[in-house]
Amino acid sequence: MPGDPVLVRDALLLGAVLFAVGLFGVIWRRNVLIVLMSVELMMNAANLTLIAYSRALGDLRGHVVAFLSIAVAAAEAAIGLAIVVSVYRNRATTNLDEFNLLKDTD
Amino acid sequence: VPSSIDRSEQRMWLKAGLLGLLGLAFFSLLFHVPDVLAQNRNMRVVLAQGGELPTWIIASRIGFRFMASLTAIFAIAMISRREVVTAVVCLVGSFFCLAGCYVFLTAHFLAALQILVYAGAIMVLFLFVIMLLNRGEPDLGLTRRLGTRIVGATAALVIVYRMATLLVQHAPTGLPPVGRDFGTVAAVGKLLFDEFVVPFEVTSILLLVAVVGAVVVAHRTRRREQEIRHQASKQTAHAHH
Repeated sequence: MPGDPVLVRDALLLGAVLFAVGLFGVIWRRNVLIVLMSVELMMNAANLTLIAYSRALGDLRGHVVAFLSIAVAAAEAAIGLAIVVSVYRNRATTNLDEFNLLKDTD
Repeated sequence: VPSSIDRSEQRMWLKAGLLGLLGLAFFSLLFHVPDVLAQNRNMRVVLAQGGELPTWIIASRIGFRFMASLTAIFAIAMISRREVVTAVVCLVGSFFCLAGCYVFLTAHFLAALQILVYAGAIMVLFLFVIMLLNRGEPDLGLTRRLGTRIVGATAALVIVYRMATLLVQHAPTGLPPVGRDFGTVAAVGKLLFDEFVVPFEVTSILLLVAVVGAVVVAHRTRRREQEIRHQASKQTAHAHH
């Protein structure tokens, strides 16, 4: 099957846009749940780039790496949300600026 | 009373539609800028080979750009929502549209996986945690300090700018032809259980560790509370004696 190179180029550009939006969310927002979702968005941008280059090179290994990356993202979401729940029990907040348990507050 | 609700709902949908159209226009412009900068180099390659652009190329470009615009719009909506549940719904929409983009890149297996794992499992996990926390705390305010925000905006803009210029310079001019089974479950699965069987098995260990770790981290405080309660009851028993 033939392919359209413009599609791959657009996909790479979309990957850059999604990564930038995710980075923006991580730095800009204060709510830890939104920050975690932005991290998921950045991982999706990486997956999209892998898939685009996989098509550009005609090599399926990029799809396999994207598959493994999805598994890592699932593990990361589970652990991250568990930490959020744990911190919420101690601090009763989802404000990232108050997550300073390890900070020397003298 | 119902009529006023209807009217506000109508206004909301109108606003959402206008915002969507505006975003669509903006992002189709964004996707066309490299085209203009590269003087439609890729299109000229195709034109030199066969005269006219085939219909399937035009259709797939329109479809992909539509899906890509929706993905980006939903992503921006996600980071700009005050309410966390709305943000989750926006992110689910973004993941669905991204799965559509995967289909245009002939990644059928990963498109299905994207919907099953991301839009299904991970986002449901997020919703569960949001409803578990049920926060009664006052509104956090949307954003962080000004200096942090400036750093974030600069970093995001630099990434998009650098990627766009690099893409214009080094965009692929032709794609290798692939078989009809490229990106299907059979082809990816064969590779997964042949060349990548060790990483695949390590993934199962990773998921196991993640699940056990999540349970341990989320349950620790409850156990400590029980210990404290137990000690308190012991002390009261001593006091009675």
